[in-house]
Amino acid sequence: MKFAKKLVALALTASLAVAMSGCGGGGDKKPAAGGAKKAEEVKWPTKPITLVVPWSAGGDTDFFTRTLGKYLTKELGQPVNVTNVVGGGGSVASNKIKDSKPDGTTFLCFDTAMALNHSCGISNFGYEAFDPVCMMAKGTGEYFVVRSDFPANTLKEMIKYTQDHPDTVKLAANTGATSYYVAVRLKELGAKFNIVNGGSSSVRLASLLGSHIDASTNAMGLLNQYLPKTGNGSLKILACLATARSEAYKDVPLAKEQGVDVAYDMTYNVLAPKGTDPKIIEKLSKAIGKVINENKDYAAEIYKTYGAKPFYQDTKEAVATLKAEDEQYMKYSEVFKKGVK
Amino acid sequence: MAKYREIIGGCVFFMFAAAYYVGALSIKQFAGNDMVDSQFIPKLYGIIIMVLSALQVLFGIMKMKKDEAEDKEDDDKPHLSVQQQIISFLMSFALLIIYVALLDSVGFIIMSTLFIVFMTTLLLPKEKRNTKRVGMTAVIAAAFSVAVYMVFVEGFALTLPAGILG
Amino acid sequence: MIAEGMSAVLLNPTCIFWVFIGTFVGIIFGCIPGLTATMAIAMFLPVTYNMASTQGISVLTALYIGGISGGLISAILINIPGTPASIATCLDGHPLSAKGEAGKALGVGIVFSFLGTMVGLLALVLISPPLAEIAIKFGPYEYFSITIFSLTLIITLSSTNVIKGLMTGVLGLVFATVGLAPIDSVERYTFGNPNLNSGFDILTVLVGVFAISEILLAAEEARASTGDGSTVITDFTIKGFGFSLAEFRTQIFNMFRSSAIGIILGILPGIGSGTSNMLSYSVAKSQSKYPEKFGTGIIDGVVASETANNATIGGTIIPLLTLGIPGDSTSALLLGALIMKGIQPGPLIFQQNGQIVYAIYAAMGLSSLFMLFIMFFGMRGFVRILKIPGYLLLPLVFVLCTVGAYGINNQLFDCYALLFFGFVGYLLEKGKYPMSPLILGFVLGNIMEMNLRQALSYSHGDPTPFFTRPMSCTFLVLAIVSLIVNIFAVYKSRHKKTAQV
Repeated sequence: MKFAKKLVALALTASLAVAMSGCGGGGDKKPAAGGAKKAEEVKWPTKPITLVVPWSAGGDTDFFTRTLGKYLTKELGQPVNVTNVVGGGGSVASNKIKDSKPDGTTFLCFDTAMALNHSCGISNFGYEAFDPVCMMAKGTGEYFVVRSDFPANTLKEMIKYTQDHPDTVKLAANTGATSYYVAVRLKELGAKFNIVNGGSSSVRLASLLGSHIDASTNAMGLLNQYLPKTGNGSLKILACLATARSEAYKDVPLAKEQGVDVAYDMTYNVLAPKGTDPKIIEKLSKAIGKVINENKDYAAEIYKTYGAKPFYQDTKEAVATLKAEDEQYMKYSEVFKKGVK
Repeated sequence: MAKYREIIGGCVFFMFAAAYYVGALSIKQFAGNDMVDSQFIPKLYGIIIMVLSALQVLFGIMKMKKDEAEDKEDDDKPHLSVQQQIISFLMSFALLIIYVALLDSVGFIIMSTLFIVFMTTLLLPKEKRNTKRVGMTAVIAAAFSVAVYMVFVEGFALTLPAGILG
Repeated sequence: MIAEGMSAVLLNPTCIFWVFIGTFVGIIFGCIPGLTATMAIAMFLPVTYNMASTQGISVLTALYIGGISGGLISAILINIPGTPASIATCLDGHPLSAKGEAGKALGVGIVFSFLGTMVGLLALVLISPPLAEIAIKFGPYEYFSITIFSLTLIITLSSTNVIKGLMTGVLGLVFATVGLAPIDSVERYTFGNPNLNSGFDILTVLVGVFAISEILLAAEEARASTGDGSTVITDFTIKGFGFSLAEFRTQIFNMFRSSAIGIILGILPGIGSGTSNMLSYSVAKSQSKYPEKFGTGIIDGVVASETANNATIGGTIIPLLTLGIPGDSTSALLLGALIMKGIQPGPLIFQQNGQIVYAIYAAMGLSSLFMLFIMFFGMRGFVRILKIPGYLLLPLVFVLCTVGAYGINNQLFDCYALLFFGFVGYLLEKGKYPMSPLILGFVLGNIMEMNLRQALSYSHGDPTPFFTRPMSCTFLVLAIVSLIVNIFAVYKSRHKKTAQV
């Protein structure tokens, strides 16, 4: 009776599956109270939502998205899943979401690198190919990091060092990422780095430790564990590349304070495929805004790992910010496309 | 047929590698790149395979001249003629393609049931084909398809095409 | 902290229950071709959101272990690897099954999977700091050399015809080039289809080449045969684990060597159990006193493969926890889960989140024991799968493969890719080309090219550092040596054959 046994096995598996789904799998929970009390509430979400991150797990965008997603689940009443779609400097994910169904189940969580993808030519579109939902975070900036025994203590000294020893200091820069912009700017300011590809953010830090590269641009997060005061002291920061000092890391000097004119901000956004129902976008945006502005646990978590303060911009403001970012980097388009060698 | 296996294999690989090499020439190159750009590796692979397949053809010809019945086909299992083999292959491949092609429109459960029944019948040795067997297979197929659908869509929240039923 | 972490897992009945479930589900996903541990973890993630960190991570760890271990079942019974980690298990596992010794093959696979995980866990607990240091020292030069070494060793040992092995291997490399290129992200062979931007998925390649081709080949054979599909008389009465203590003793050195290979490849991010099982098999074959027996059905092959792939788990967790770098797509999901729980891996993870680390250790140990337990009792049942005639089993397997392929991205494209590789596998089988080099080439292709180009960009196109850096030089030399030695050996044996005739 071989197929009787098979049926028993299948039945067991089926009952196991039912038991699991009862324990909180993809079930429908009641929508949480809160959110705009409009006259006509749009019936969304009815299915789990996916937030797509264009980088591999462990980086800053991934962190902000996952932390937000965690609290958003409770806010929206449907599971919010985060998946990583890696490749092409983020363009594989952005292409995928751009062409996906605008039914309110999938969203792209990207960052400033999207504008860089556009200007480097890796993708032939920018934020306008999507329906932006909101801005969900602003980092404290990226930092110029080297090993602690490197013979330079500020970014200005570093530039001088590279001029004295041209082509020997390996700086990690990935095409289509903010690190590329930094490399190009420093080259314009006279630095003579050997610009190489670096891999994801945690890979770059490991490469620094192993002396495979000598300098890198990284957001805080994992970096904290390598710094002198907060970690094991194997790496040090030469300058912060943001436009203003952050409250969490007030002792870190800015590049522009040192006379090195490189300053940009890292912003993180949420985008929907073009054609998504504006009511869905509005509801999502408001839910995200609620989490960011009101949830104390969220605020504590992002401060702990990234020193970030809650930052949120609604749809209209987000579009303006994205537009400004796009324009800022599109100015460099010609330079980027020529390559950095 | 077996005699020419090496030669045919080598030729197929050679043609594939040549096409692949030609395809490599249209890969975008950035100005100011080093020698090893995105075209380099594909071109290298193409050349390597072309060289190897040429060698294979060469050895195949040499072997053919040296010994005639070097390798007998396996053991004494009854075999179909080459023509029948090709037909069998085409029928089963066609069945696979039809299954995948209609999966979205007709739906997972129905297509899987149909597929299992047809495929099993196709694979059955001639003596075993009778209506009773087909009937039993249909029952197993249906039960299996439904169970898989339930376990994965309801239990694991995976998506499978519902098709006509959904 | 140690006690806190371990007791959170070992003394908590709910946690123990979930680790059991995780292991069980992992084994099921691992043993069905088309379903992978990665899929299982992705599906379970939402379930863990509401769990405590230790419990959630423990479940996912259990899924990982079950998933890697489960692949041996289908590899041995139906010659289709359940996951890329069990490809080499097919090579000797299936012949053993064909000889009627399926029970022995399964028993060996299960016990040594358990031992492999344990040795990996031991390394993780005792020597992860020095191992992490080694991981850091591997730069692009070393990565490139070690992938070349793996490729040459595996290819040359995969069959007696080195040329055909090389051709299939390079064909695997060729398929890996489809997609966006590393470093500069240009489109290669995508024909304008955005679905191909991230390249083919390993699942479609593996399952297509191994499983679909089996179906197509069976279509030719089965119609002509008069048997009932399962022509071998299998001994269904299995004593204990199916093999003797004496046999066990002969494999002890093999086990330690394979574990070492598994752990070392595990600590190198990007290279995981998919490669370690094949490399370990090849090394075992080359160092064996009876290399010609490999492939005919000896337990040495199964031991080498299964010990290595499980030991890799322990190895992979090291860079995951201490550097925040996941070794493969499965551990990347684990990393995501850790971050969602507010745990940032890195050098300070012991100080900041020690209890999670020890919880992971405890979960690994517990899960391995459960795996041993579940598979021991399941063994006799698994073997009975052989009783299902091939003409029914293969279509059922194909339906499951389709589920897996569809589940990658919820689109039919991957199912078509499955058929494409099935066709490729079928042609290769007809031409009597070996198939495992194809998978290996595909798995390692991108890593190899990316590291080659990165390394050359460091040295401005100068290839000398590949040979001046000690580790890199060692692996390249080993690669060249193994190539020459094997060609020579094949040449010698061919001459001996013609001399004897």
